[in-house]
Amino acid sequence: MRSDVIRVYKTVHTWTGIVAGLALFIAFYAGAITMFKDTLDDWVTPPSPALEHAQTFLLQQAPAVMEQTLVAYPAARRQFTLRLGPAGTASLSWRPGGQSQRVTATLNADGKLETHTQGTSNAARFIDILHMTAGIPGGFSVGMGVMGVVSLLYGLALVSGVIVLLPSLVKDLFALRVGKNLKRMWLDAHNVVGILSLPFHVVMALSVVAFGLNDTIFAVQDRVIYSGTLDATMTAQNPYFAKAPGEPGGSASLLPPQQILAAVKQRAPEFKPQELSYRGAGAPGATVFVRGDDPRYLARSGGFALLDPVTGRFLNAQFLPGAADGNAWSAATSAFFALHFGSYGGAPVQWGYFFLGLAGAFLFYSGNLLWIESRRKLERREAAAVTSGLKQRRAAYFMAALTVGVTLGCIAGISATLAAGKWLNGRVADMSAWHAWIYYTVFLVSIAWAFLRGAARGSVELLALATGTTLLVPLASIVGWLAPSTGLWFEPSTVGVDVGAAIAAGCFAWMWRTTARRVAAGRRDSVWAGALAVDK
Amino acid sequence: MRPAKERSAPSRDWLSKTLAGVTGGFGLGIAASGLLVFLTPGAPDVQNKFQVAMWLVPPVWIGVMSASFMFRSGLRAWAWLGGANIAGFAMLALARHFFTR
Repeated sequence: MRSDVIRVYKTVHTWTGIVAGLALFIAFYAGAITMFKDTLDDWVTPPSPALEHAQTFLLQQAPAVMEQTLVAYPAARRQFTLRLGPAGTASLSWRPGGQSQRVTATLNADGKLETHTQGTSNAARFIDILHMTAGIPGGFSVGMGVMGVVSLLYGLALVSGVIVLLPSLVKDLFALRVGKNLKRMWLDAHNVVGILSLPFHVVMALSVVAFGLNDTIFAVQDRVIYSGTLDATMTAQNPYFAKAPGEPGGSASLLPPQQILAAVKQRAPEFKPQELSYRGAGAPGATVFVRGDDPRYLARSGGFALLDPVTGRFLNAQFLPGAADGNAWSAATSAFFALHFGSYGGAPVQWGYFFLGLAGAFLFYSGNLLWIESRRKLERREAAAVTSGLKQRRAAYFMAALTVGVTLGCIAGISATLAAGKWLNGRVADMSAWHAWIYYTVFLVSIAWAFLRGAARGSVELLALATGTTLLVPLASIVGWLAPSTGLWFEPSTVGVDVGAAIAAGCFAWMWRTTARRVAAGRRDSVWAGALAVDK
Repeated sequence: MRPAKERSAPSRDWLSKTLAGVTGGFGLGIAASGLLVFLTPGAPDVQNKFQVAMWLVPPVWIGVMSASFMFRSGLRAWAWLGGANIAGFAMLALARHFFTR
């Protein structure tokens, strides 16, 4: 490869990276956490004291619970969910329109319907949306669109990064030169993480362009390729929504869920259903969406099928893993989705994606660091030109403060908003508004703080903040365990969240100590030097 | 292949090359997805073919954008990518004409 070509791609890599890096950091950090969304949901959901064992019922009782619920609570007709538990149990719940509350229904000993209303926190959902939009304001579709464009830059950064690294790949790959030359060490670490997780990053870059910009792509394809018929095709093939072909005046009574599950089992014997979502129950055209998992397949969202709950006929089984319905196009589509979400292979892949996501966040952080490091003025080179002490370039200071504020603000904000899901449970009315307020307050104040204090001192203080907010997560459970009268609780099945947060807090504390030492003793010409922190 | 010395270094032309890559890459992605729709087995509206056709656009788009910086000048980037687009959409028109059932 010619050296002038490499220089061109080095410039491409630098500028695409610096523009896209911080948004990608947020997306990857929040995305890694989102791999455990279901566990986080359980962590913020309080156990119900009075009905501790009665919330679930045997699957055989499900038809009675469903029937009584639909009669007594018309709000459940729009959509209710039957979640399958262990050992043939199930639970039924729904959200009354536009509320963040979830109502659970069960039968008491006399066979009468009992309901229980919980104000659940949607912290996990908030973190997931943060992952998809990087928290960009303006609504979900704006955030997704921006991330689609960011991902185009990310794709460019990947290609150009590989081109730049190619000539010295063999020499540099496994050489992590830990030593005096800190920039060399960071570059080696950036390269080795980037190359070793390259397939993961290629998957993410391509899929996020598809997710973020598919509206635009579809609109153009509709005109150029499909002559305006694409909308009709997409509606007919929508695997989530359909209208069952109910006969007018015909029966609208639902089959027992066991029969739905039996129909699914017949098509896909190895598929393990987890929940059944009924839409429009009690009226013609109702559907039931069966979601589950078969870890042997690259299945979209683990795999799912849409059925008619009145007749038990399949409406769409294209994404049911192991069923013969799906053609090669559906299988390919499944694979694209599964590779992004890691919804295959079970726990090993889930953990693998978690660590690859964190490694990705490190990649973007280290990239910004290298940008800053190569732009700071070296003391010996510039000393002559500087009369009143050393002044770093404005751009290097700006990026250093922004990098520290955004990355640490995001980490602290996510920890704080997750912890609030437990600390504030039952104490506030509108939990989702609180989640947004807490995250954005911590995030924006952190950025402001980093600019106010300079990157060096700011990073030490913000690492302390990240440590503290992350400790709030296990602390809530410890308080709930020792003093249940506080209204907090400890749920043994979600202890992984507490342990994970404690380990994370330990890592942040270690970084806090190391950073504090570097700021105190580091080189005077570094943007990280404490003495220069406010010298803009 | 001419010796390296005779080949002039790639000029900068950042804006021109970038725009050529973004627009030309998107166009080629759409043309490629159209060829996929008409030249592969099955009707254009067979289950989920439209999904694969959409997913084909990002790799082509990013690939062409990345390659656009290889051109020696912005003008050359526009000429080559413009030509490739004309060829691509001409093939798409032919494919649509002969293979639409």
